[in-house]
This record gives sequence, C-alpha cells and structure tokens, in this order.
Amino acid sequence: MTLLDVGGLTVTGRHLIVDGVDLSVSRGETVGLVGESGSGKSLTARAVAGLLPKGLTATGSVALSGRELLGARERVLRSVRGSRVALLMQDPFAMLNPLRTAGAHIAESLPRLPRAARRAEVLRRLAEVGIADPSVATRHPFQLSGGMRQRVALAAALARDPELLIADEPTTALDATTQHEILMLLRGVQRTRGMGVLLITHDLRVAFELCDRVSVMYAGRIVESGPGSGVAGAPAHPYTAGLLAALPSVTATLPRLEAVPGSVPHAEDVTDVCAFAARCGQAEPDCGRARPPLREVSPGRRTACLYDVRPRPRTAPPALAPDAAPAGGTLLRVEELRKEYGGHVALGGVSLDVGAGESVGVVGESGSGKTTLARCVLGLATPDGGRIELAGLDVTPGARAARREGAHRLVQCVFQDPSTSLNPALTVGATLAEAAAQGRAEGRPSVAELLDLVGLPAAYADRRPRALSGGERQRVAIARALAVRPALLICDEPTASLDVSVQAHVLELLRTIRRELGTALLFITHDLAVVRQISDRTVVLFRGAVVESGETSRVLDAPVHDYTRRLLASVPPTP
Amino acid sequence: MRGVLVTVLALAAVAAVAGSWLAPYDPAAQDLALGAAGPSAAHWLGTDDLGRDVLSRLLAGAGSALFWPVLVALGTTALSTSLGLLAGYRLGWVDALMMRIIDLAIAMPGMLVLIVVVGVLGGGYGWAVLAMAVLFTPGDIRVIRSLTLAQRGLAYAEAARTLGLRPARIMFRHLLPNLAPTVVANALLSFVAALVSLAGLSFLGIGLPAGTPDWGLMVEENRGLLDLNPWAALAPVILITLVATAATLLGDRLFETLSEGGAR
Repeated sequence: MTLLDVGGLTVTGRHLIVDGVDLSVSRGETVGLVGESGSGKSLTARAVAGLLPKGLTATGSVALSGRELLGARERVLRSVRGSRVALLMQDPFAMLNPLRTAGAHIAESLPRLPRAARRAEVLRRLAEVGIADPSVATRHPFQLSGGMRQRVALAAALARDPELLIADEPTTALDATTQHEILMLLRGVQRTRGMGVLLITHDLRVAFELCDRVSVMYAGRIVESGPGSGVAGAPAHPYTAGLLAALPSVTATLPRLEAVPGSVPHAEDVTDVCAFAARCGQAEPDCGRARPPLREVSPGRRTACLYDVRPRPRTAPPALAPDAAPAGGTLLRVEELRKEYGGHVALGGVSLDVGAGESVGVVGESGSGKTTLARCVLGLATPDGGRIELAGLDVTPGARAARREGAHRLVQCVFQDPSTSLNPALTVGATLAEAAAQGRAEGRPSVAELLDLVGLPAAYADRRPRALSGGERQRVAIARALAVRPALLICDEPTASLDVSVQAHVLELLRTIRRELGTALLFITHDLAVVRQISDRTVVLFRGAVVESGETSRVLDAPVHDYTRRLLASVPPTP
Repeated sequence: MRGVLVTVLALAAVAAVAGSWLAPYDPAAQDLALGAAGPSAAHWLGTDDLGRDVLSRLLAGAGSALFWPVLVALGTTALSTSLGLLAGYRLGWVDALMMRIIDLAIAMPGMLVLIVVVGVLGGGYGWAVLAMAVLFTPGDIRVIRSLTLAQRGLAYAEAARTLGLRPARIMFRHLLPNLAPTVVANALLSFVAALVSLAGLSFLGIGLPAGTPDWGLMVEENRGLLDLNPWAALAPVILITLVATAATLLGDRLFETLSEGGAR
C-alpha cells in the first residue's frame, strides 16, 4: 500500500532546482534518494515535509495516503508533521535545543500523559533507540556524543509514532562505527514498526545497504530507480555506473579511480535534453534532442537513458601490488609525541615514521588525535613532549634547539574544508604565486605550471575561490602545497567534504603526484576505503595512541587489534 | 537609496573643502544694523544677532566640523585595526596585556575625559581629536581581535602559516581583506561618533574660541535667537543630523555589500 506518492514534483527558486520528480514509499519500505551535492535531493525531502526555505515554491503533487499535502494550509501541515511524517536531520547538534534535556525533547512530542507515566514512556522510547542508561534523559545535548544525540533525535522524531520517517543524511556527521550503529538502529526500528522510510544520502553504499528501493537523482531529476541490489549490481544509467566506478574499495587497491568528468549542470540548463549527456562517455546525438523519459527496463527498474549501459572495461588486474617501498631513508620521524588540551589527551605518546617517497595513512575517528598529529608536524600546534624530525632536522615546535627555518620547504598540507582552504580575497593566481615565492629560487614553478600539474586550465589564475567548485578548490589547495616542492605532503581528510566522483579525481591526482614527483604522503582519513587506495602503510590511531600499524593490505585484510576490526566491520559493503 | 546617501556626503565634502570660497559673504563680517533677521533674498538663512550671514558661517564651518571627525576616524581605524590584528593573531602575552589595558580604557567615562583634557590643555580641537582616538580605539580593537581570532583558525590562514609567510604578511595581506566589511563600517561609525562628540564639546564652549564659525558653536551661540531667526540654530543641528545619519546608513550598506562580495 502506497504511503507517500510524489508525482511531478518541481521546486523553483530563482532557478529551477527540482524538475519533475516521481517517488513513492510504501508502508514498511525503505526508499533511498541518492545524489551528489546540488542534485536537489534535500530540497525534494523538504518539499515533501512542507518545509521549503523561503523563496522556493513547489508544484506537482505530494500525497500522503491519498491526501494532497502540496499547497495545503500550514494548519493541515502541522497536523501531519511529527504525527504522521517525521524528520531526522543531518546535524544532531543543531537539531536539538541546547537548553533542553534529552528527555524534554522526547516528552514534548509525546501524547498527554500523567507525569509518572510520561517519564516511564520517555525511558521506554530511549530504550527503543538503544539508550539503556536512564540518566541520559536528564542530560543536555552538549553532554552527549554525536551518536547519542542522533539517537535522542530519532527517539524524538518517533515520539508520535509517524507512518513515514524522512531521514536527511542522518549519519553523515558521524564517525564510521557510530554511523554503522545508527544505520542498523534505523533499520531495526523501521522493521519493528513497519514504518515507511525515505532516506536521503550521498553515500551509495549506505543506500544499497539499507534500502529496498533506490532512486538516483541528478541535476534535479531522477535518472534511475529500482531495487537496491539490482541498481548496485547492474546500473542502468551511465551516471550511476560512473558513481559506482568512482567508489573506492576497501578490499582492493584499484589501479585507477574513475572520476566522472565535468561538473553537475543546473537543472534549468538541461530541461529538454539528457542532463548527463555532456559528461557521458556513450552519448549519442539523440541524447541532446529530447529529454529521455524514465523508461522501464524490467519490472520495478527504470532508467532515463535511451541506451543500455556499456559495461566498463576493467583493464588492469583488480588488485594492484603496492609500490615497492622506496629506499630513500626516513623523511619524517615522530617520537613519543604527547599533547593535551585541558584534561583531554589528544596524543598520548605517538611514534611513526614516513620514508622518502612513501605514502602512510593515518586512520582514526574524531578525537583520535590524527589532526593534532598533523598540526604538530606542521608547526601549527606545540606538543607537550616528544620529538619531530624532518629530513634529519629537529623541527619540534617550541623546542629551544629547534628552528623551523626552512621546514616549510619540507612539509606542506592540504586541509579538509574546501570552503575555507583558499583565501576568498585573493585570486587563484595570487595565492599560487605567493606560495611559489616561498620556495627555492631555482626551478620555481610558474602559476600556469602549477595549475597544469593539478589539471586546471591556466585561465583559472584570474578566478577567485568562490567561482570554483569544491573539487577545483581542493585541487588549487594541492597546487599551493606543491608550489614549494615539499618532500612531504600532509593531507588532512582532503576528500571528506567532496562528492564521490570528485573524490576519485582528487585521489587519483594525489597518486599521480606521488608517482611523478616522488612526494611522500601522510594521509589522514577516517575512510578505510580511501586509505586502501592511497597508502603503502597504515597507522591506526585510537584515543591518541597507535593501536596498529603495518602494510595497508596487511592491516585491512588481517587486522590484529579489536578496534581496527570494528572499524572494518562498520564499512558498508562496496557493491 | 545609496545614491542619496552618497550625494549627501559628497555635498558635505564639497562644503568642507571649498566652503569659505563658496560662502556668499565673509563669515566674520558683522552688520549690526541688520541684527538677527530671518531668511531673505540677500541672506538665504538669515543672520545672527551680530548680523553675520548664517549660510556663510555654515559653509565656512563645514571644514572644521568634518575634517576633525575624518581625522579621528582614520586614526582610530588605523590604530584599532593594526592592534586588533596583532592581538588576535599573536595571542599570548601581547594579547593578554592589550586586553587588560583595554578593560581599563573602556571603564573610563569618555565624555568626562574629553572635557577635562580639552578644558585643561585648551587650544582648539587638536587635543580633543587625540583624546577621542584613544577613547574610541579600545572597543574597535576588541571587535577586530575577535574577528581575527575566527579567521586565523580557518584553513587558508593555517596554510599561509605552513608556507612560512611572515606574520605581518599573513595579518595584512591574508586576514585584513577578510575583515574589510567590519573595518569600513567601524570607520564610518567612528566618524559619526566624533562628529557628534565634537559638536557637543563646541556646544559646551570647550575647544574653539568664541566667534569661530563652527556648527556646534553656532548652535550654542544662536540658541537664544529661536524667536528672531530660528534657522541660525536649527540649520547647523539639521546638518549635523543629516551627515551623521547618512554616514551611519552608508556604513551599514557597505558592510552588507562587502560581506556578500567576500562570502562564497
């Protein structure tokens, strides 16, 4: 029985954003809406809940059990939201009121009950989301971890027993192990309650693991839909196939990560053609003539492609033998590094080595100390104890003997957040020229050479960062770091905020740079699949201590430490 | 709207630069026989009790009324921006020392200090301008410092440090352009505060010798003439209000435009 039926949903602001989306969710079914940033998936979810931001209007039809919600009065929507449709958002911290306790959030949505009964009900609801400790009800959001907050938010969303739960990237802000727990919890709750779930996510693996049916969105429209396993196994649209090919694998080092070339067009510019044609490897003249309809390829499977997807040639053998360890000697030596913030131990005596030209991955969750480690090596943080040696030079920040003179020519960094990694006031050219001037005079690269190195046209030198996409900014950031031709490049989650197709491009770029320039990499990430693709050796950090280290294939295929095993178990299977 | 604001300030600037030259009469020329007369074809805004042309005195006074506040705004902005950047970027003892001094400075009653300084030292606006710059700076330093703190933690600033750039270069080339909206808006607010405070000092008879053509002084000297020629006192009040309002609103608007330009 169809619970939610969305037909021809269109969302328009200053531009067209969502263009004719059809969706349905039945009772007891989990439907995934997958897409990269800018595909319009979140606005689709908001339009369904009647929560579009100001200035955006929706047309089409959104029916809940046959009742039209689009254009309904706010009063009607209020009676539906919470009680019949509930929302779970991405950021569990922003979603909860910092001044109210966890229990108050849940009690607020419960039906009227006597005080004692209400308290018991709150505890029962907390137990449903896996919180057995009754004291959590009296704690405030800041006293809870991210996973706990998301559990409380889920309990609050479920308080009035909705028939449909819309979950918008519910686990994106969480650590891998926590993400896995919350997904499993979501599945359990959905099954026991027989509830319909609309899961919005950018992560294909999450969608395939959790959803009965999956719809893939691109440039404001649905390009493919079908059962999760079917879409994962045999994508019927070149875009889906491209996304799947761009996914890094945790079990094998791929010889080449396939990025989808180009970038997502505006929905408005492609209303009458196939939205993907410009980036498609198998586009025919037909693709630019009319918009391909969502045609049925088999029962329950639809695609907006006129043709059958050509299987991608897998040229090289699937697994790549790790590069032989270069015999250049030790480049970076970190010994017993310790750092505390207040009473919190960020680094509790961490030691690691990076050889010249070697790529070492540092894996850990938030709070494991991996970023603090990078900051100490970069001289941005002063450790409480320990030693950092770069190319035989003592560069421990704060140590009296150590002068970091020249250290910037040895080590550079690519930071995580592409939105702040470039100075918005300077052009790309000015940023790169300034960086290059910090290097040695002989063999100093020009701005054009640097842009070419990261695969950007020389004309980008005149642009400012806000005219660049996230992936392009990150490539400029890599060019800036390479401008002084450092021996070691630290990458602090450089792809964590990027879409999967862009991530593949950046990872491939880093691999090429390492191969061609011989730059050693210290790659910090929480993503085991990424570390598999990029590093020879892997160091696993847990609460400021190294719990396991060794060759990447050894650590990931035969983990010794319990924590590494848990990390591996939490990775959704790669289709 | 912005056109109106810019026009008001541009006209004020013209009057400040070329006021004495534009004035139809010598601002000091007395015509005792005329006395305090209302507006007429010869004297558009009438005359004061000594028969001096009000319009000419307004134009001649525009220079001192606007020049000193501009000086205060420039001085305050230069001082607060560099010290705020320094404190927010360097942190440590530089920051701690500066913040304690600022705590003290902010606790001082501003107008009282001004009156005492100018009253004791006398001699025109020179000391008043210096005292005002010192009084306005601490609050602005705090604002700039807190913005600098936020910016220095962003990835681009850390990348600049990683590249081994000199601190002065990071502060002025990397951080400062991103603080520009606030710096510009603050400068205009300092201008307005100085304009109003200096007019207030003149009104209290502190600073300039009696008889100098000056907007604040004119309000004080001519407030007894409200029945004979109200324009003699009202016109300078209106001008001060107009310029102050225009500068405040323009600061607001500039802040918004510049922020949009800098944001993604």
